[in-house]
Amino acid sequence: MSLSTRLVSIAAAVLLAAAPVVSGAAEEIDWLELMPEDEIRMLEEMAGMIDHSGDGPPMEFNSTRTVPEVDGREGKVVGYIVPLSINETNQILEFFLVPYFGACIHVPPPPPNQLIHVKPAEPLPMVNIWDPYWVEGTVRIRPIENSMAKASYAIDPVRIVPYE
Amino acid sequence: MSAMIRIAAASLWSRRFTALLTLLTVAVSVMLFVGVERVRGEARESFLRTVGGIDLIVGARSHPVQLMLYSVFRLGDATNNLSWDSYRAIAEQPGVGWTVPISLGDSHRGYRVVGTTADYFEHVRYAGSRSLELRQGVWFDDLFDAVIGAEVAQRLGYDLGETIILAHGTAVANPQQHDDRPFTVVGILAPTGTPIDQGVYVSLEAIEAIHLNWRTGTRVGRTPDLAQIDPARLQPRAITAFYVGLDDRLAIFNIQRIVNQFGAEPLTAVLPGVALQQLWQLLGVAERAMLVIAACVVLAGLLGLLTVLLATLSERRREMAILRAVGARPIDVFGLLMTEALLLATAGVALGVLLLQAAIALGSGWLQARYGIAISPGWPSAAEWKLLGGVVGAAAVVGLVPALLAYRRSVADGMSIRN
Amino acid sequence: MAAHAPATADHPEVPLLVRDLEFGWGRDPVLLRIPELRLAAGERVFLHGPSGSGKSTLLNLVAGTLAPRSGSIRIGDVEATALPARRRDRLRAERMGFVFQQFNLLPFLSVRDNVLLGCRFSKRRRARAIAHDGSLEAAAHRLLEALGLADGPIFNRPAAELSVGQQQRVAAARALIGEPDLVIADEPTSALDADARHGFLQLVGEECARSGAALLFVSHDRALEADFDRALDLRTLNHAAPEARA
Repeated sequence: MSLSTRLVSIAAAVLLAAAPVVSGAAEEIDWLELMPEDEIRMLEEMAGMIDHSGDGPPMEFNSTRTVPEVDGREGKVVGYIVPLSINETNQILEFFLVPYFGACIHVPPPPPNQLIHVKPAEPLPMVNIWDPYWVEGTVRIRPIENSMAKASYAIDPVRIVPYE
Repeated sequence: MSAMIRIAAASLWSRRFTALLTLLTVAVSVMLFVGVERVRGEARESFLRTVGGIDLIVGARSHPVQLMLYSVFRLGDATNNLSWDSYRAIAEQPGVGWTVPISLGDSHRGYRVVGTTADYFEHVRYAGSRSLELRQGVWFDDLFDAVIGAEVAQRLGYDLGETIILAHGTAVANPQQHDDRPFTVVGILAPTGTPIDQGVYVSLEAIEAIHLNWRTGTRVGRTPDLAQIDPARLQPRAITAFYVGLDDRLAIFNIQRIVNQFGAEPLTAVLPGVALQQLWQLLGVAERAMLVIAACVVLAGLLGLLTVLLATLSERRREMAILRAVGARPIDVFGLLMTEALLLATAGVALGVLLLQAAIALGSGWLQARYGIAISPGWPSAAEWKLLGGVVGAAAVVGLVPALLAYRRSVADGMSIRN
Repeated sequence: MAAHAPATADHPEVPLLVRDLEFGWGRDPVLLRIPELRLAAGERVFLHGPSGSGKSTLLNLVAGTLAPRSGSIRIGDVEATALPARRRDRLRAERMGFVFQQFNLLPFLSVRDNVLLGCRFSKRRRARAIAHDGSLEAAAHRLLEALGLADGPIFNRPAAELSVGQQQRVAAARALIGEPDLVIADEPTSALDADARHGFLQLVGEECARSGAALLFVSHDRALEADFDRALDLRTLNHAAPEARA
């Protein structure tokens, strides 16, 4: 084996060994960690009260407060990608990451603190919007105006991979 | 090596009739193959350029893809209208920044008439973030003012001040004309390369005005004198759809839910980005089928190539014996056959690309007028180069068959042909 | 006429030496058993061999397109039997030129390109031709003229348009271009008119002498024997059993 072949083999072995460590090391962040404790408790109390009998719209649950401790946390969140803005070659410029897809109409849509706004540094080739994805990066809390919420979540993404 | 190319070229030239036919077969198949891919790609791009800056599209209850198609791409017709009151109720939801109402249903010589407001000109974007511009004139202001898209102006040869008659319904040939209410062209939009170029834009009030004495799709009675009509009667009572731009993006799913569950009438709200992916998914099967068929056509072309090369193989045994006598190795004979296959394939591919340019040049006008899809002749894109490379690669594989056969025969024959 | 001196100094003393050659097809009995066949530089040898005597097999062995069961085939200083097939092809390109009875040329190539085929596969022959005549074209022109084909316009015509006699001359020019050590001609005059044969043979012989190539001339026509330095009979040369020679 020539020297260059040897070097390439060693490099490949190192990378392969390191790869699971790099993505496995990213800590998983649960969606509920983005919701303040008291709101979670309220949800649990309401859980028994979800009524599928079909009269009337679902109870609106306006959960708008953020959990400050989450700001700056590095990790990964699994969710569904909803493109907000796409370019001419069908690449995603910004999207919302949401916890579930096509929920039944008896359950309210994701409240603001269960929405994560993501704007990749490079346009992201279109994904399968019906499949879940891991979005890995640093969670940020951004203040916003003109909104029902005072602040919202965002992630500066480092890696976006399909959920296996 | 160049010696082999010269011999291969001379050999093909001596059989030029057959070679040309094979070339044409490959060329036509490549034209089809790349053409399908190009139309597919450019149609997608055309669609993607058209949708920009809109957060939600709202219309009467329909399949999200259908709603997007008729409200943005002017393809197909609306199933129903939605009432003005419902529109205002939603437009006033917290989080909504701006709305652009549109009213469809009339046409002018095949081009769709869009009843709308000045908000259309202000808020509609294309190719991501580009605003509309007026090449000439101004946006409509008076009741019977009209603004036309660049394609309409060019194809129909209209200029500012032109008088036009709108027709009821969207069919191209239409006896139902609103000829009692002529419009004046006061503005011409700059080209955008999207279906926006094919629209005739008038005010919502104008749409109401021209239908004042229309019942159940036909004109009845005398045309009312507008001076005697209470302006309130020109207030639009229904629209076809409206675009929504949000101030508060976080409200997007809430507003979508409110629209989808609106009590007063059945409505649908779609996110354009999502609806487009649904559209590609629907089309995906058809697209793949077309590509497979086109690939089969290429395969047929390459099989023709194979046939031609194989058919003459036995006649050329003497040729190969001569080459062996002057010192060619069996691998050189192999190389000769491969070179011939690759020469034919490459020339066929090149000719196919040229034929495609010609076909596009001839047909792009029709595609643009009919479907708003802008396809331009031009060098193959990266994806297309890959396809072309694939064709040449497949030809190389196909060429292996006669080349290997020739190789083995050459080894066995040597300088003298053994029977 | 060429102004350069013939380059006989470059040729090996013994361009061809076959020793103890044995050959048979597959597991068939031995077809050829030749104790010795030797050509000296510039020698002209007539080999009489009627069809079926194994002459084309022998020529293929000498050319290196066939490998013997045992024995030695030396081309100049190179032991051909020790070489792999592709090197034997190279050797043939460098040292030998061939003329067959007919169908010598690629019909779709011009006369010029057919002649130049002789040095397409050997840098050495190309270099020699250029050294001797200044350019490949000049070498081709000179040889054609020497072989009796002075007609200029023929040069660019496709070989298919030529008569048999003209084609044979072109073939000879191809065999001789670039000064090979050995020219092997297999029945080259059999397709020519009787009166043309001697003339053709003479021109080939002269050109061989001029360039220093040995000539191995295989034919069944004994009438031509007289023009040669030596005459051999393949049936005497070949010690294999008569039954083997089908």
